[in-house]
Amino acid sequence: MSVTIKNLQKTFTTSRGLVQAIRDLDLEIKDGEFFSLLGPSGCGKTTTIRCIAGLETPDDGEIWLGDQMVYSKARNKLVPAHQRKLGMVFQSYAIWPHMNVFDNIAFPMKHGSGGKYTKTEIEESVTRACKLVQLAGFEYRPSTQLSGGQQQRVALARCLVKDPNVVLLDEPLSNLDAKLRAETRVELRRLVKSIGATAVYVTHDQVEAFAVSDRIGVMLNGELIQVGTPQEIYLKPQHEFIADFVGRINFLDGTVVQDDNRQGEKVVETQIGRLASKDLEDIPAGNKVKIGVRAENIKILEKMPKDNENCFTGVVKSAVFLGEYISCEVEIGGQLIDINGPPEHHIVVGSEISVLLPRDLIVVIPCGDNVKCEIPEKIIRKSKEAHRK
Amino acid sequence: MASVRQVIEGTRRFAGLNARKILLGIVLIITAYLVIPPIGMLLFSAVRGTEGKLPFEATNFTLENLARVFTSEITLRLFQNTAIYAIGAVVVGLGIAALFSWFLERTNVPARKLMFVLILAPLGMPMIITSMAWIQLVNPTNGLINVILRAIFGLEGTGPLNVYSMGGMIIITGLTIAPLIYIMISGTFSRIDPSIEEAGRTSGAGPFAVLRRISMPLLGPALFAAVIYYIVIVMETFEIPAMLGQPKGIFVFSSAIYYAINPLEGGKLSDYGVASTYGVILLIIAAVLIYVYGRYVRNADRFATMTGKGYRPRLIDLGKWKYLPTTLMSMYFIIVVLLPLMTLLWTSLAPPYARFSIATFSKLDLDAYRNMFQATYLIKSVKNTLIISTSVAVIATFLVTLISWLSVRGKIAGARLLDRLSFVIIGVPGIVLALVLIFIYASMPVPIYGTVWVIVVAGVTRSLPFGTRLMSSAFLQVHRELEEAAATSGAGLKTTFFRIVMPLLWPSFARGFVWFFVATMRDTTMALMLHAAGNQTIAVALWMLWTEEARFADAAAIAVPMMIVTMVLTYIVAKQTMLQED
Repeated sequence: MSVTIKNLQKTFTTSRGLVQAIRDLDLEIKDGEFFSLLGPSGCGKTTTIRCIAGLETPDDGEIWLGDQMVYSKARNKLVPAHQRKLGMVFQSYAIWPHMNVFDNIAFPMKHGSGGKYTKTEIEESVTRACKLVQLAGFEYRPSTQLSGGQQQRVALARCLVKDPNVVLLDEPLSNLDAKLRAETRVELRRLVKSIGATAVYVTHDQVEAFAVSDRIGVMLNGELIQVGTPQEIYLKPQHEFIADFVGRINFLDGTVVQDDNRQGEKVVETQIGRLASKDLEDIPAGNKVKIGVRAENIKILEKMPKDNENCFTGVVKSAVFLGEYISCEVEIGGQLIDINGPPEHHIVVGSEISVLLPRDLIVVIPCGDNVKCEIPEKIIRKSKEAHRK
Repeated sequence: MASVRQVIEGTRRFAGLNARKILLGIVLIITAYLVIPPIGMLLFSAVRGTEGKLPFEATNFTLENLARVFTSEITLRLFQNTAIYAIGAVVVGLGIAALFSWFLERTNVPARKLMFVLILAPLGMPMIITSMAWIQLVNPTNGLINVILRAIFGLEGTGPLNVYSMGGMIIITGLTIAPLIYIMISGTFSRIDPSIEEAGRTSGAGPFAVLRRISMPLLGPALFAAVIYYIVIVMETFEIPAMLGQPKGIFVFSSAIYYAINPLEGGKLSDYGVASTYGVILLIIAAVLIYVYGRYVRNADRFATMTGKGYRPRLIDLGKWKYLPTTLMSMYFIIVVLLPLMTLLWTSLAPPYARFSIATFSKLDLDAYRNMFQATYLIKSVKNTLIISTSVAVIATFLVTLISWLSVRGKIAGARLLDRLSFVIIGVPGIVLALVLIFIYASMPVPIYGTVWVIVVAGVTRSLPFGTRLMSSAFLQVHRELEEAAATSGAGLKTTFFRIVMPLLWPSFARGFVWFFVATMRDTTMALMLHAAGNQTIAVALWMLWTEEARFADAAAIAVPMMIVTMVLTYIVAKQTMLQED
């Protein structure tokens, strides 16, 4: 079942005045898709999922589950949460402490379906759900005696027991420890895919979003600023914020110019020098851009190559060995650049090194100086076009 | 494609959305009905009635009441007395409570659990019974303690102690409210992060310096808040000032209101105008103090010292002094509970005015208890008390649960108003509330005046501020998502309430029920103000027997079982509350 959101608006009144939690949000999640809403806390992602669930009432817009309209301001329509027939896993798991595992999982069928299931049907479904989340044999354990991981699985079983067409997952892994989290997210995706449900997943952890999602929508200050596959989000962020949010990145301000030395190919003039990139075709010369280069994508060179495109020399200002890599700061053209060097390298503070900023891995953000505050219409349009394809 | 069925379903669903709003509307109307008319009526009646007339019977507006009250020296005296009484009693109570909190929370006092029982036991003692017992013990003519003191020191005449005095009122009230203050402040003592004090110790400060320079400043805000709060509570108490102060002409606002309505001089008419004006004064003082308290409590949170990490603070080793606290706390129990109980037991068994002696033991009889089972008025009183207490407990528990649920969970307009509305009545003392309920139901075409139901209305109204606080904190402990999970599982408002909310909050619910029941049972003030021929409660019967008919043995025979019942019930609630907070 698809999930369609049109022009969603939501404002909260807080002690500090009005806060626009969601503004002008348009989104279409395809049937069977695993879709993540990614963003920092307070960006509106949880409010969005709660609006889909019916736990918050938006101020304006429309929400559709498949071809059923569940909310529309214009038509004065609001289907309450308990009639939307979806499944939800909460951040706190919300396992009812006064019930055992069986009663928790059986609740949606017993008390949330108008009594249309027989006792045997309920028992079968609960047993099946328990098996699905590997909790078979735990049915009659009091829910207060479960570990965090087990609680998480009870919450998931309860969400899946009625085979919902849409499941909403609100940071379901954030209360698990790191190792369990990594194991569970793969399992989670497999389970949701196995019942064929559409999933909306909320997280602030980009690695988690990359791991589970078919597509990701990144939110900031209540706006959806980019929608794309995990690779698109990582390789072609359309906003400085996204580039920064996903990994450790160096930003450089620049202007697009035509390089006479290279038959008029466009390059970016920055304070460390000229940078070539494959993503400059659409940007006219003279435009200001933001260049992002991820620390892990910069290569340390043995010596300066002949074709020195995107190669620079700088002085190592600091180097910290972190096991996985060596975290260095290198001063190039008066600018400190973060670089993750390979752990086997011997990098001496004060020495000179050469580095390569690979042209395929350079992020070009075409929006001038004020990207942090405003997102130009163009980008939104572009991201919408991208997701329509 | 909207088929007819879908349209109908859509309408039904839209109605479902409104269930919460409709419920909120109903609860809001009930709460507003309980809260707004009393406050409005009080202000109205202060500029209205003249002697002998109810506010609606009077035909004119007048500033005469205000003029009479504010130009009178009696008013100044009332201010002084009320201030001295309230502050004095709170200082005594806080001193005892702080000492006991420190003993129980911060030192290795032996038999901690038993001590806990001993100092919480007096909580449920009805003040009217406490007053009766202390009159028996320390009245200047034949009070047992005075008799003994005179024998020891070879004194003649009356005294040396006199319970009918400001000092007597202050000490007895202080002793009585100490356990209440203890409940309020002991948590603060136990929540101080020990590392804060240990940092003081490692900086070279001795234990006393740590207490003075670190612990006390940290405790300061909580203690000050307790002082303000209990000044309001003491200002409202009626029984002790009425029974111990009135005989010597010492009045405070609460007793002055009662005696303006029920004048001591025969033939004098009820002065409703003056009573209302006193009521307004009391309301304003209480409102200001509650406001200060509210501000202070909010600021006190700044000292987030104390958010618990789940460990118990390191206990101070008292060494060879460790039996001193045990002795003090046991003595407290003996003085506040055992002595009054024994005294009343003796009074109920002994012949009238018999002095305590070995010889009298042979004359003890059970006549008073036999009378009790024959007196029809008493059977009626017991019945009334049970009806009133049960009704208040049932209605108040449901009402405050709904109010708290809606105001804690509600993000709908009106939820906040509901919360404010249910709290504002805390500024209206019981005696003032009863006064205005007389006005309201004597004039309004709601036929409950003089019945048990007017006392039920009073009881429910008085339960709102404390009750909503109790239930709201319970709701805050239940994660919102537990309820939302029910909604996303397909459960509606009713199912969510009965399957999730109620079972989760059952302990708080039960505790609230017992608390309202016993508080109503204990209440003398409102029942006495609102009493008429058919609705008298046990507390009112006690008052009548004691103050008007001087049938001390009969009164004591009623007081003994009542005291035991209320003490046991209150103790259960208090213990559960403290355990939950631990």
